[in-house]
This record gives sequence, C-alpha cells and structure tokens, in this order.
Amino acid sequence: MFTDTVEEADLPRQDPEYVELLRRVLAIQADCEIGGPHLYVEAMLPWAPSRIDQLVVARTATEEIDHFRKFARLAGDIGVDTAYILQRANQDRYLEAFRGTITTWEDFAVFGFLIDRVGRYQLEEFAGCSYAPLCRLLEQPSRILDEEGGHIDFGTSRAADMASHSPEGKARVQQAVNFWYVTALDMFGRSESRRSDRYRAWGLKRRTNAEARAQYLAEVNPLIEGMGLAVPDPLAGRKYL
Amino acid sequence: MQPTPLAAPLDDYLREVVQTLHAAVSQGMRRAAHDPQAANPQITDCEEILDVIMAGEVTTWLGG
Repeated sequence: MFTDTVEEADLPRQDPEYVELLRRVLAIQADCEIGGPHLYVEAMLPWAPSRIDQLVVARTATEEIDHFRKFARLAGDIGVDTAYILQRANQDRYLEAFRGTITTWEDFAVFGFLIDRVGRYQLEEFAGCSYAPLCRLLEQPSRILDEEGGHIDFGTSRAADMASHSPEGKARVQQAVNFWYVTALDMFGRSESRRSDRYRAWGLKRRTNAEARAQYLAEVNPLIEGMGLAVPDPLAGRKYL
Repeated sequence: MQPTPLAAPLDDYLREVVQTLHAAVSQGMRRAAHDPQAANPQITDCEEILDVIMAGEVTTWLGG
C-alpha cells in the first residue's frame, strides 16, 4: 500500500500508473459534477413547483458548477483538459446516471436522495488520499461535502414529503426510487474491479467498490422503508455487479 | 507537468459566475420569503446565466 503524500510538484517523479489513475479520476469527477446540472436545469428551473424550489434548483446547480470548477482546476493544473466536458452531450457522460434528463420533481428529489448520496461516497474516498491537493479539497470542514450534504438532505426530505401526501404521490416517488436505486448501485462499479484495486493500492481511494456499495445499502434501505416505500431488488436490472 | 492553457482562465471565469449566481439566489430567497413573485427577476437572472453555462461554449466565454 502506497502511503506517501504527493504534491503536484512531485508528480513527474511518480509511477506512470499513479499519474494515469489520478488524471482519470479527476476527469471523471469533473464530468460527474457538471453532469447533474445538465440533467435538471433545463426542465426543473422553469417548472419547479414554487419560486423557492426554483431557487433551490438554481442554488444546487450553482454549487455543482463550483465543484466542477474545483476539480477542473486540479485536473488542468496537471495537464488534463476538462473544458470540453462542459459541452459534452448527456448521452456521452462517463456514468449512466447522467445520461438522461430529469423532467419531474419526484425525479429531482430522488436524484438528490439517492444519486447525490453516491456522490458523497465518491468524494469521501478522496479525504485522506495520497494526492495532497485533492485531499485538501475534501478535508473537514469541506465546503464541497457540506454542499453535497445539503443536496442529499433536500432530496431526502422532499421525497419523504411527497410520498406522505397522497397515494398518487407515493406511487410517483416509488417509481422514481425504483429507477434511481438501480442506477445508484451501478455507480459504485463492479465488485471485482482491478482498477478499483489499483486506486486503493496507490492511496487514491480507501474502500472497495463492494464495501462502499454495502455501506450505501445499509444507509439508504432504512430511509426508503421509513418513507413507507418498498426497497427495490438490489440485483434487478443491474449492469455492474 | 504543464497546466493546460485554460486551467486558470476557466477557473477565474467560473468563480465569477458562481459568485453572481449565489448572489442572485440569496437575494431571490430573501424576496421570496415575503412575496414569491418578488423573486422573479432573480430567477430570470439565474435562468439566463445557467443557459450560458449549460451551453458550455468555453472559447466564447474566454474570448478565444
């Protein structure tokens, strides 16, 4: 296990595999950060149920743009161009979760509840990681983690609220949960992933994909049940087991 | 390891955009707390700015 702390100036002396994995993970994270706003801004900003909700959509997008900026800067500083990611079509996004569009308030809320929560898991991997500039971004108190937590809390409370008001609302939230739950579980990647092992070997991540997914399941399943909803089959429709 | 030519200018540009959006959202929230319709100008501002960012035309933003 690699235990060094690497600063940007140290990178030319690092193993090429380390540099390649670092470049890759920064580009993917930048793609994920800007992928969210591209899913929901177009439909949700004009059509959110209230003025306050419209402003919440704008604030959420603003914070994700700022997260993109921070990861894009880290990537750009080591020669990785991420500017093109800003113009990338949704269907070309790195992760499946960001390849469609969000057009209902239920989907917007459940996206925050389930997908932003996966995002928090991914970000937590970098806390204490071997690349110091990345580690500093996620050190507590971390504005990125705090903001991501806000998105999760909003999504969770709004999903619970909508599920509690009427049978029709509950059915719509259940439908959104059924879709995003499977997508969320796939975001962790394959349980047997050689690349994940290499990330951990180089100190760029801490948990295996399977460990992170298991922790996520233990966290979200009681929340779903607490909303009076059915927990979907965690294996049905999965692409990455 | 050389930084990309856009790394610093894109960072600067987006930092300003984020500050502007945050200001609009905060002002809109304050106004909407008393009268939801009063936040319409700030919502419109956010829509216009976010439209530009979602279009992603970086070279235009940076005067390239």
